[in-house]
Amino acid sequence: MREITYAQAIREALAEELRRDPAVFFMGEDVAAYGGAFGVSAGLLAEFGPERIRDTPISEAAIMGAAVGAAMTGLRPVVEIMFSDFVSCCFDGLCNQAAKTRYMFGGQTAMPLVVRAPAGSGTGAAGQHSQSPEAWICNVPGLKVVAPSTPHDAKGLLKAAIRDDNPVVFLEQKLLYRTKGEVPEADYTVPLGQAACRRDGRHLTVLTYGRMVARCLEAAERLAAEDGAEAEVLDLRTLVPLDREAVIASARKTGRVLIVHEACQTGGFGGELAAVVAGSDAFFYLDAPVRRLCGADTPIPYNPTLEASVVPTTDSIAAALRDLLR
Amino acid sequence: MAMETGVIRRWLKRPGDTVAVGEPLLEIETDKVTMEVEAEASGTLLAALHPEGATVPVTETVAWLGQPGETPPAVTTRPSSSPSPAVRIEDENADEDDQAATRPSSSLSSSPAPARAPDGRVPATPAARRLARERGLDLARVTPSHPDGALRLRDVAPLAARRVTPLARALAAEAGLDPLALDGSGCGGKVTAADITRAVAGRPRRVPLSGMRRLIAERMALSRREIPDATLALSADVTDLFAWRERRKRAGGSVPSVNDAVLYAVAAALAEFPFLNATFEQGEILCWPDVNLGVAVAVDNGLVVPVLRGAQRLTLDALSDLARDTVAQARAGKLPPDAYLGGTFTVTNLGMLGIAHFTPIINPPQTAILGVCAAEERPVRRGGRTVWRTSLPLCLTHDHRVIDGALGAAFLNRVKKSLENWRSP
Repeated sequence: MREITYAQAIREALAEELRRDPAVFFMGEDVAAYGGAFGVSAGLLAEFGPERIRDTPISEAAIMGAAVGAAMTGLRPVVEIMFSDFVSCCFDGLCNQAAKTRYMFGGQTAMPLVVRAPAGSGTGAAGQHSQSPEAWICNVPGLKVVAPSTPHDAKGLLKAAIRDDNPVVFLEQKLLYRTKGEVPEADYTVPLGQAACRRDGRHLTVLTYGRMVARCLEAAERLAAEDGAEAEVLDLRTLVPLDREAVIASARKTGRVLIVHEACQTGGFGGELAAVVAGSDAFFYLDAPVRRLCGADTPIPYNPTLEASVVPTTDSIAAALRDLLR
Repeated sequence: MAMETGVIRRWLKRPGDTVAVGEPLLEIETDKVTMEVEAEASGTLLAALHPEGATVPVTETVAWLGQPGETPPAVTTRPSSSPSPAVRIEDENADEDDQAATRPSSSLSSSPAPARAPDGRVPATPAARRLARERGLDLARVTPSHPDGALRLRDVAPLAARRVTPLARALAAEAGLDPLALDGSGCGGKVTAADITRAVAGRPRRVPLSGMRRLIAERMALSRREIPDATLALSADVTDLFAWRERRKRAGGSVPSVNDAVLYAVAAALAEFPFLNATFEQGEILCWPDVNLGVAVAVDNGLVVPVLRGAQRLTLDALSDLARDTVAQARAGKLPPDAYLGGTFTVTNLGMLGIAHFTPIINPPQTAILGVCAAEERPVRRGGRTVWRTSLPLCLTHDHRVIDGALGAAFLNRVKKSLENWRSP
């Protein structure tokens, strides 16, 4: 099968859904003429024209307000928030309007709205352009949250998100844009709410998502080669709704759980995962305390050495795996 | 057949060699087999305590594993091949200070004491706790292997698996006993078959009720609880009947049994005594037009009562054939369920077992049951002479709510008369 990048996979998903459904349109800062800050939407303006590929003013509040109105009146907007850090600028539209409308109006209107948001550190973009804000968003009922780790899933999940009648926040880690992977050319979707087991193992479980999946797999291979222990790596893919069954089954199977995410630990999504495990019957099979390996509780530093050191690395993940197996 | 000593055939590692978990350390020979002993921990072989060829009691320390450069503790093993007691549980009898002095550092396979929280609780993972609970193990007796002092599954699992021999486990299951609740007398406290045998000595074997046994229990208890019964006994002179049977035997062909003759006489008598061919149901007496004779048949671990329908209409030979077939099929378990329904009177026979008298229990809602005992030769005075006659004792139990003593006696005498004035039917 052909290989394309994560960014190309997202562009294909957008283009295919724009062709498939005339109600779909795309807007954001510098997404049309410039092709997006990370080049994800390059070429879309030429094919779909300025009515459907729209540049907006530099106002996330305005973008979100327009998207909510469009979604309520029958369109299926996809918006790009240039850096996921900036969702804080449109929190009212996202959390108080998009997330609530279907509930508060008794389901009289759908809210088919997708917010694409490049996230994560590693690009030297410092504290205001490098965050992993999934925990903020996961805490708002009514929003679905997706964090794909491969080009295949990025395309399939984005198409599923666009076809979903609820608001979906689609977190794309910037360091994944250039990673390559096999992606089918035929139309397909990846359903929201289904985790993927990336590696079978019986000694311990790693719960992770996004760009930490690759690092966890590397660490798991190292552990298998050097220690003969097999780690199961579960890629959550969707955080809300969470595939609780897959999480619980794996924890129950191995009895040891390591949770890895780039976002900082305190109040992070890993705490929710730990609680899901501990609150299920998998608890009775736990043979070690559930362990989290997360980003440091600090703004992402600008200094590249410091920046690399505040998030989990293959080394630190391997060390945590070994520690869990002691 | 418990193993008490073993011979060290060969050391596969030398002191100073590095050993990984599961690697063969030495070869030992038992009464039956030669096998390899695997290392239970990784490390360096510090000392091999017995030469090749030595006979060593089981549970004796034979080697120390540890970190390179460590000194093994001063060893005070008994001499090999000595006829000392074969089983010695270490740690429990040893002086604690002595132990501390001789115990190598904690990295050795000899483990630290169980950790305890200040309140006396034992820290353990949920998985370890679950297994201990399932197997009835006391966590306080388990030694933690993890540096944090909390018991892991791996600490508990070997105990759960090792403490009971397979035979003991099977015997315990049979006796409905938890083997782990016993103190094991085997090697290292293992529970053996002997422990189970000792524990169950003098205890009853618990036998769950089969479906048939439960039914019998319910119906017999119901009968005794509800029916005010009385038993009447008399003996019938069956000398002529026996003589008739001898004549039939000489003539060849199938000969009705004494019991068949009783069934025949009872069927005829029941046709004349409606209250005995009756059932008592919800305060009403139901007198049945047909004689449906129940015949009690002993089967494995129980009793069934198939019914011979319309018995009063059958000739002796037809009744005899029907009874023989029905009993054979009942013993083979081949009768349909409705073959046991609708009886109006029951005959039960313990004669072949030599019983001289018994008090049968009525099969409710029937109102009477006839017990047939063993025939015996008796001297009888007749016309001033003593003659030997064959006598058949009969016992009738009747429901006194329906049948008074005089009526029961009249019925029994009617049966007696038929049997005594036996004419070839």
